[in-house]
Amino acid sequence: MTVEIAVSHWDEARVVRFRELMDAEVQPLYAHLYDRVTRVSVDPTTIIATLIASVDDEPVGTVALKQTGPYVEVKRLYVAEAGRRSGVAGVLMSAIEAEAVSRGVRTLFLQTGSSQPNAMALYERDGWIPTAPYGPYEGDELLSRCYVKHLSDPVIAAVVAPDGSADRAIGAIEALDAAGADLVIIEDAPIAGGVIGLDAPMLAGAAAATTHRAALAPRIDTIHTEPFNVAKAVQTVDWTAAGRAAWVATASTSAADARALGRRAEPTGEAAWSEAAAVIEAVQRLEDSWEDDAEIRDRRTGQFIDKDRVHHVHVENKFFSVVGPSIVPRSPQGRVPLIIEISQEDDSFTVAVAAADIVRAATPTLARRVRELADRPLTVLVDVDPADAPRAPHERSAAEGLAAFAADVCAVADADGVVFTGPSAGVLAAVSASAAESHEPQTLRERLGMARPVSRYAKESA
Amino acid sequence: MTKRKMHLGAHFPGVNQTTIWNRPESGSQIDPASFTRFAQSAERGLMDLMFLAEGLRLREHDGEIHDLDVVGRPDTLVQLAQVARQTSHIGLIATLSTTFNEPVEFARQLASLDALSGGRAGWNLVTSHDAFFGANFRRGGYLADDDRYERARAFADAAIAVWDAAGTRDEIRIRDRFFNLDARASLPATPQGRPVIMQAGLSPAGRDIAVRYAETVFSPFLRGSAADDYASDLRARLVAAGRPEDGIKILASASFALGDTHEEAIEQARQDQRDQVSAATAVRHIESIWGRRFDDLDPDGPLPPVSDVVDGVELSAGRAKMHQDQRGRAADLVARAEAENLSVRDAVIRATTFGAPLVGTPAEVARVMDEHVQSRACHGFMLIPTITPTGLDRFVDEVIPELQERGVYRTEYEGETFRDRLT
Repeated sequence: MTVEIAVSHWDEARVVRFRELMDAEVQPLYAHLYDRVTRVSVDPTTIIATLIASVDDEPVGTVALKQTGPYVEVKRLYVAEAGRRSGVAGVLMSAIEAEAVSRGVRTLFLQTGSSQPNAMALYERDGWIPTAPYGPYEGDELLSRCYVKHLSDPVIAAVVAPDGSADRAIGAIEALDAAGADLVIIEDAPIAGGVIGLDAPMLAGAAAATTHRAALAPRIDTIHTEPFNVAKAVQTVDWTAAGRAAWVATASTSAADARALGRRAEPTGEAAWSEAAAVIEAVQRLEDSWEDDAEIRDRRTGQFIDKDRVHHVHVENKFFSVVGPSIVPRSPQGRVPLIIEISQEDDSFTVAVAAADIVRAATPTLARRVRELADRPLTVLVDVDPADAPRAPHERSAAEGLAAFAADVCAVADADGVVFTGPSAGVLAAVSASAAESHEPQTLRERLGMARPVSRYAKESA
Repeated sequence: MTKRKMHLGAHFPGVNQTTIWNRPESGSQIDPASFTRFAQSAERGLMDLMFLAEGLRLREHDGEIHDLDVVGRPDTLVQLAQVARQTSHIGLIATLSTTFNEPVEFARQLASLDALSGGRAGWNLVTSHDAFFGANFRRGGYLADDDRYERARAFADAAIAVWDAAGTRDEIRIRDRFFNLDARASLPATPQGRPVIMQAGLSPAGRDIAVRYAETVFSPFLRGSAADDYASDLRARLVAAGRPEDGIKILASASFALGDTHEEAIEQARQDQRDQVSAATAVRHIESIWGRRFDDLDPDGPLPPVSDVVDGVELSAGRAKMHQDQRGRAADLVARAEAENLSVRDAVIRATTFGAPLVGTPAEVARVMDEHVQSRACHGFMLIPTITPTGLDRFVDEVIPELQERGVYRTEYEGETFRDRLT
């Protein structure tokens, strides 16, 4: 017996007929609840795709894909009596997931009901995890039993804030790495704020020695540092971590920082981010200053490098100038992915839209907004506090609940992943619950599906 | 009478004219595994320290990037942070400029290295002032020549104030000609507090810096009257400053060549020199002394006449100025080449033989090293291997046991910190 899947349409007669059959079967199960549960009707314009299954040219079932606010749902899976107990439901589900994947959907949701244990069992066998009622079903714990499934692994990130002990900071990074985090942001404490400050790029270099999976992202101030030194530190973290590096650019406006460093007065927010953008540009030019194949070791001519593939950068702007090239050869990722953190639509937001490879957004609204405005591929991460995770009525474990919550927030934010925040024990549990199976060592760019850029200077000399 | 104990440092053979890059065993100077491998070899040899140099701009020749020597290196601090987690006893010395860093940020970076290494941080205090390096930094070449040591002292004093306040919540207030700082102490107390400070450089101002701050110096003099004069001068300066006369451990720069027989070692040294000074390197060396390009100079032919020297032209940038007296140096080279019938390449090899290397069988080299230490010409050596990252291995396997046999070198690491081992 072969199940044929074909693209159909929500209003196609056979599909309509299957829905009527489904309503006739399912509605009586919930008749006792309809005075207590708001019924959700389907707006046909929100249907993305409808599939129909046939056996021996005989239609036996249907399923649809629907955009419901920020969520993409599997909707109206139905297999007629003739097709039951022969795997048709599974084939339909695989087909609709493939349809979603082809449309770039990262996470799928569905809602079924508390009186359909067979359906719940089917989904759970098929890798769907229980989630709290979402979107239109939120608050309904009587009828709705909701599920979520990742079609691509979300990027799982966390923050380590060193407390002054180098060993504790490294231990915290190692624990997140072992739990499966894709990215660890290492905070750099304000230098004069009374907070104990270990150097974040150095912590990243040290942690590179004993971690295997997580990309290490030191947070680096662009105002009180030398662009040349920032570039060589960032490049070296990438070297030490074999391509598992990113960096978070910040712009200090703190008067205390300025007094402690003593080189200059603190800038205003707008001027600070304007300067940060200039530093980012300089760092990225320095990262490009060596082409990938600059080292040639030509014994015949005695040339160690091809000097035509190592370039001065000649950065000059109203803040500083740097001649270059970097003293560090081009690092494994070419240019180390740049993270910018946004908590409101301010000057940092503007720079994030223009220059970031990865944006860490404090809220789902900001996450959506930055993706809308950035006219290029961008990895967007959204903050999630595991303590806020709701419990699904059919939750099987707290860990699954955390993973489901992260998926829900990702969907609302249209984000590629999350940054877990809050107390470290909760973060570690959430990372462990949400992280994908371990994978082969890879660079952060590979993990994020970001192409490795060619040096901008290679184009000039080609 | 008990013997004076020898201290050993290991200079990572990365960006350095003496590093040989064209042999099959020549490894990467940028792969972090090379640094780990080298540090672990040095640690196997119970050495006091590993040393990383720094250059803040690639060398240039006649306005172009110098392409004949190993080039490209990591950020010293990030690289040493990684090595710190993969070693357990060896001191880690970072060469860092007082000119192009800011003291509070710098101090916390060295404190981070001390914390990450469990008390093994060291700082080779260097000053740089010229506009060539300054072009990579916000301030540019801002410092007048006369001010470089004064800023270095102010910088070191500020950094020391930060280190000394670690573990407290004290206010740190610094007001001088160079700095106007108000910081709150916020660093953790680290095992050493202050890192071990190293100094290199022979000027009177440099020696004053050493006596004021350093616990070790990197000396260019392996032996002879120059080494003896330098050592006795430092002892006198130390005593005058109220410090013990051995308060600074002098590590003499020492490249080496080993062989199973003395003749084999000499042949090894000769081969090393030919690999270090390629035909192209020899011509470029002549160009930088003569102050002009020689596009058709035959490296196997005679030197150009002294009359070709163009005075006052510095073709090389990004390294110590070696050609103050161009015409005099050119005349010396030509005279020697004519007397010994040397080609361009052989003349340069002769002229650039670095630091009279230690050449011989392991037992011979150990004996000579021991003699230098017992004669108080130095307290030990900064070994400069030619091959990355394995260049130290034979020394560790064959010379170290000889030194131990002679009773001049440790058989296990003593103490807890880098400073414990150095003093």
